[in-house]
Amino acid sequence: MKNTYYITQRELYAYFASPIAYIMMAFFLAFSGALFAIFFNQNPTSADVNTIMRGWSGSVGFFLLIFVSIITIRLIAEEQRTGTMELLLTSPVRDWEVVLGKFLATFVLLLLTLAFTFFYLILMVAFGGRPDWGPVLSGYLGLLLIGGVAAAFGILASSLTQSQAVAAVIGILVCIILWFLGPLFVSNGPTNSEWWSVALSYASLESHVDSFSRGSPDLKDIVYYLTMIILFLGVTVQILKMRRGE
Amino acid sequence: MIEAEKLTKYYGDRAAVQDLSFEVQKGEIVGLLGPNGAGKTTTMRMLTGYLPIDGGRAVVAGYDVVEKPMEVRRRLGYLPETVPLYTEMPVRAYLDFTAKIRGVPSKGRNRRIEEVMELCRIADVSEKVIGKLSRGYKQRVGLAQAIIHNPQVIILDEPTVGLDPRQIIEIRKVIRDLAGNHSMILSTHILPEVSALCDRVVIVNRGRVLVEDTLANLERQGSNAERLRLEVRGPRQEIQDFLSRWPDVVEVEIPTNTTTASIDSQGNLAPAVEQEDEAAEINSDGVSNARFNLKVTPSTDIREALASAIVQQGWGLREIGLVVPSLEEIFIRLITEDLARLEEEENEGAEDFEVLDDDELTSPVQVRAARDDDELDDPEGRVVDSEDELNSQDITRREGSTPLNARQRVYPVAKTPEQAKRKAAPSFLTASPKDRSSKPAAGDTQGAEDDQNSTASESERE
Repeated sequence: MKNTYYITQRELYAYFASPIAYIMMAFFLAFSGALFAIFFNQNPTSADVNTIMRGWSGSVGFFLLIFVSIITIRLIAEEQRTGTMELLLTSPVRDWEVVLGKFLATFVLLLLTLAFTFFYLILMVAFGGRPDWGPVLSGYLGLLLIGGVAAAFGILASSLTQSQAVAAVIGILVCIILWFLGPLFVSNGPTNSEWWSVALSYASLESHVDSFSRGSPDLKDIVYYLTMIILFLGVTVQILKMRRGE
Repeated sequence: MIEAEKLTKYYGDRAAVQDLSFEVQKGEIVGLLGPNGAGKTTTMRMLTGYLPIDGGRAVVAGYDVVEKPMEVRRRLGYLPETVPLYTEMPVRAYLDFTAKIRGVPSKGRNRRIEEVMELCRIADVSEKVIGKLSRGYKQRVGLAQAIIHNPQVIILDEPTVGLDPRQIIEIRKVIRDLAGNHSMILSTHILPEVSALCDRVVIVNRGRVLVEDTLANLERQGSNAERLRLEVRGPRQEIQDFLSRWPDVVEVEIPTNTTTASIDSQGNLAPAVEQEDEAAEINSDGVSNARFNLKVTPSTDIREALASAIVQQGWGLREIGLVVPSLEEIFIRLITEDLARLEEEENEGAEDFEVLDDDELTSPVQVRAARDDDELDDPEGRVVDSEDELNSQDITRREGSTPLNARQRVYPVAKTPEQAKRKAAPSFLTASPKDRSSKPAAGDTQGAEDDQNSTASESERE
């Protein structure tokens, strides 16, 4: 476990040593701010603070996916390319410790980025808004879990190739597909109750967001996200084992 | 400290390393020597546990690499061929990270980092970002990470590759400083490195151990065929005649140090050897400084007798000495012999021979041998496809007990007499397949042997 911590530490160092993290944070916050502005304009009284936050947290998830996909592409592909993976895998560190360390570093960056969005709340409270903390916090929990799934999949994509460009394309495409699976099939409404339609919409990331932004997170949604994270990280560990020595 | 027992690794169905065994004792530095593609890196990666082992066993620091990988890794320092550096980190931070994941306890970690930076002579760049360092510094930072946890076993894959001579000397100093406390394997294809650093040499080729011996033994072995170096002041031709008449002298060679041809003042192309002769004559009035290499019958020492005889003739004896073969010569001889052995093996087992494909032609000697072949036969010559295999097997059966030479075997056999004529084959191949089967193979073998010898001497001259 100590090794995981060391790897997390180093990855955070690497994040902030390169401009990518800053640039992507800036992009994400710009989009997020724009979304906030849109919801704010629709509900221009500060009393509507809960409606605003609910709208924002329910829709900002997509940008979060893109943001996380891009910052994670480097994580393993780069180490395979420069040969530092050989250092990690010949040190007394287990493969899963490496993968988990990288995941946690991304998660910390994610927390930090989302922390900046607290500014919206502070602003609204300062102007007399009374946020309902339950739904607000559960909205954030949903965002963290979506970000976690994207991070886990980003790391998986990164382990598949030495080329960051390829990893980026795989990561972003799959995230977009995972996101839109739901809306695609749910929009057909309850009329379409074929088993595969139900299954696909259940597999969609988007269809699990709602319960969080409404303030009543469903246990099955939490389980869904956690399962996805563990699955992707587990597959990554296996891929690392298989790709040794390439 | 390190035991490799019949290590085997396949890439696809090609064996990169096969039944490779050797040992490294405590405190010993062993050089793993071989041409590019001989399997050095693969062997080292198996020892570190980075590559899965396909066959055999490796024990490092008392632990089996496969069964107890973590125990092995704790006791192992490894510098891969591509130095694993996080280029965005400063040197100290990088070493701090590698120390942590190698389990150096936090108490005394900083002191250890200072120590290692001192030892590897990188203390002056400790706060600099690694990406901005020169090649030599980077290599030494890589070495520092390999020894940060004071491992019992150190494995260095080509530690001096790509460095300039001054940097090479620095790195060697560092490695020598480490000797004694650690068991070390270092791979290289730079031979002076081995003489400079190693107690023992393991020479590998085609994934197998050719020789495992001490340097001194190797050199003694190589000096069996004795050669003398001689420089005499006097009339060149007379001296040469005199030397050739000496009973124990097998051959008198005139060394040609200048191998480049040049253009003289009249604009004529002067061949290299002649030019040297002229130079030798010009440099003294009518009398020349003549240099000779003598091949003498093995295990005779004619130095004293020859020296006094030369002096009695009234010539000036300037130098006389034994020529000790360089490690290069020994190395190239071994590799060449191995190549010949490969061919023999193929002859014996014509039914299941190993097909030499381009991937395997990685050593300079092998490549040269292949090129020789290309010159001899037509462009398809080296390609052994299934048809050729069938043909060569046919020939073996037809010739019965006479073993076929491997080179000859891979020559495509023309399917019809017209084809045979069309192909510009070398003289001993122009005969039709039928003729060849009736002729004794001795002549062919001779030709191939000459070919082999010329390959060897060519390499030696380099």
